[in-house]
Amino acid sequence: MNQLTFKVTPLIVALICVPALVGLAQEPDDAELQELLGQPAAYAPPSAPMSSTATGISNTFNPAISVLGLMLGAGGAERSTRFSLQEFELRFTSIIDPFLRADITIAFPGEGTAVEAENGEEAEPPVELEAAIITSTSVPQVTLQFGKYWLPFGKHNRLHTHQFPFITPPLVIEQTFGGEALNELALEAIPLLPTLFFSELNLVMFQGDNDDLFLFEERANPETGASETAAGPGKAKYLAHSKNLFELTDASTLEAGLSYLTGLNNAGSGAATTVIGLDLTYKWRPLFARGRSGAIVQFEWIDTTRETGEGDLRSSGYYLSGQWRFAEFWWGETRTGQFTADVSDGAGAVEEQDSGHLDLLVAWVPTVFSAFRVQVSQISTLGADPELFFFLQYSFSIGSHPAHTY
Amino acid sequence: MLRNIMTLFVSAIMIFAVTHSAQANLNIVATTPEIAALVREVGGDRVSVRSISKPLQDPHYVDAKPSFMVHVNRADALFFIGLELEIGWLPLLIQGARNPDLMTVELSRGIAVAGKPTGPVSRAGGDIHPQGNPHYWVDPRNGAIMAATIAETLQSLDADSAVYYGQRLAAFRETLSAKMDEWLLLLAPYKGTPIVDYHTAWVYFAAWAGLNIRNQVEAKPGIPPTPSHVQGLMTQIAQERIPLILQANYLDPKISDFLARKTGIHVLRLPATIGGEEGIASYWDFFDTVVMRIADALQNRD
Repeated sequence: MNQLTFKVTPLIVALICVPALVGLAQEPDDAELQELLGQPAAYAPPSAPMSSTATGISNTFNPAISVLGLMLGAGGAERSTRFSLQEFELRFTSIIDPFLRADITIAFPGEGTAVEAENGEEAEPPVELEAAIITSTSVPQVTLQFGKYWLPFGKHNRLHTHQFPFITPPLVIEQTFGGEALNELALEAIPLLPTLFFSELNLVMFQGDNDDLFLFEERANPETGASETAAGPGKAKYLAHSKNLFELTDASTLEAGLSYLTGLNNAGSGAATTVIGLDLTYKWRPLFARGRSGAIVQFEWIDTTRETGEGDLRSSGYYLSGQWRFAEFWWGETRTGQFTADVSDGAGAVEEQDSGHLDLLVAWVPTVFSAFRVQVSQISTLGADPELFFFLQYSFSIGSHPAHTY
Repeated sequence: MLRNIMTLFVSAIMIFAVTHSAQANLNIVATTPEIAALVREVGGDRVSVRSISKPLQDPHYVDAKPSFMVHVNRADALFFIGLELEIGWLPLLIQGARNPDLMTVELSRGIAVAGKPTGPVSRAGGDIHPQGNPHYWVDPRNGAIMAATIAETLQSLDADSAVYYGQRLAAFRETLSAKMDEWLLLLAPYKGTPIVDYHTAWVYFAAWAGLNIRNQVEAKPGIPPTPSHVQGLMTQIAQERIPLILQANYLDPKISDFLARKTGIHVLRLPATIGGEEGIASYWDFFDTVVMRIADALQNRD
């Protein structure tokens, strides 16, 4: 400590004294200043910044920037408890020109949870381009967008981690699309249909890099000998989603969605993967009391068929959740889900395995910018015995973050 | 598959083109009922107008329901309060409306905005508005400015009816001038009376009416008050003999009622906008009701 003080003190003294000495040396006396400037010494030049035309530096068109943080404690009845920085998101949003806007999200995934570590899951990369979306702003009746993002399959797949209604995603999403969900390079048109109620279509062509849907295992191409993956020329995949919202009353809505996804997988011989989904969401939010009351009931069902050339592998599952804002700052939530999948042993035998989960969550949400959440989950994965897990999460948002969609 | 998708897509766009061009009158969307009322005053029967927020809803906290995007998609113009009142939901509606021809008009233009923060701004201050207090429309003098902006927009969109809109604006101003004289006469005996505002919603009204807002029930806008703030308010109400709390009727009356029990102050729960109570169907109904209620409450104080 003494050594450190010894080294730092002269530095501090120098930092304070040098500018002062320079300032003294340059400070003209009042008369000299008057003579030099032809104005009274009290005159101070305007403090306006130098023109950006001259400097090339301007903050005027900087994008809106926000940071979202998730801190997590997780453990289980038979697992160790561990605290981690779950994820940090850095988001930039701005209008590019009169025709397009950009939304860029860079994620800094954390160290993973005890559950993930004990499951032997791979560590995520330290920095990840989570989403980069270019969206049209001047095309009538349709939004065009391209980039990398979570595709509009159903409801939950579109959500960033900080938007999850529960700390963990539903098993049916995780098991169907993988831990990263369906996040792809894509080109999309979203027309608004001329109906009396809100109805839009998402028509998407995407790359198809998702291992869980399109890649069974790495294998050598019989012609070239090269390792074959799902992605590649001529193997674009397609997704259509229909979103419809009905206003039941001023305070309640029912949303119904239908999703269909298809694309060739790497099993060869024209084998394809097809996924269909149905989602229903009922929301009630009374108009009075600043909307700090309400309830959401959501159901989502997903069915997947993977053609393998030696028979189909099927999986199917759902989740049903209820969220209730029972006091100004408090939410109580519950969710249940099931998932059944055909699992191949690689030698031609297929076994049907079940997964399921039951989650209970209580959240304290003092403002829209931060929340503390506690979740207890009973999870059984692919036929394993049910296990009990505990999660504690704090989330926050700083900066200018665009509002979330309804 | 791709061909089918493209066929569907092109067909849909063709249908939109027909539907969109089939609109006859000016179709206006307003973010709040008071703006809608002003549009009706100026636009008469040549416009159809719809408000997004409802009369019993706090306009800060509106859900960006996709169904509102349909209204904005089919609108010629959208009028909004601005000063970031609607920042939590309006950008999503405009973006989702897919209507590049939409004229968006912020009505704070020309308004002498109150409550602009002078120091550093952070969310530690609650739901603050860095550009100033957006509740300017409750000063009827600002109603005249807003109506002029609305008329100018309608005239630019519907040149054939420019004279009509101009005449209606002139009639509105004439009525407003006469009404303001009446309202000020009713409130004149109470000039300088100290009052408490629940939010900062009546700042402009008080400035016009000559009422003296001494404090807010909310210590920070949008955040429920702390016990120490409520304690301080009780002391202030007693010391300064403050007779009245003004509060929008969509807000929770719990704290105000507590103050009333402890100090005897009268809590006046007022409609926050047109339609906020039965019988308040027009711009005039709103001010008639609010002015009358305040005058009655102050006349009947101990």
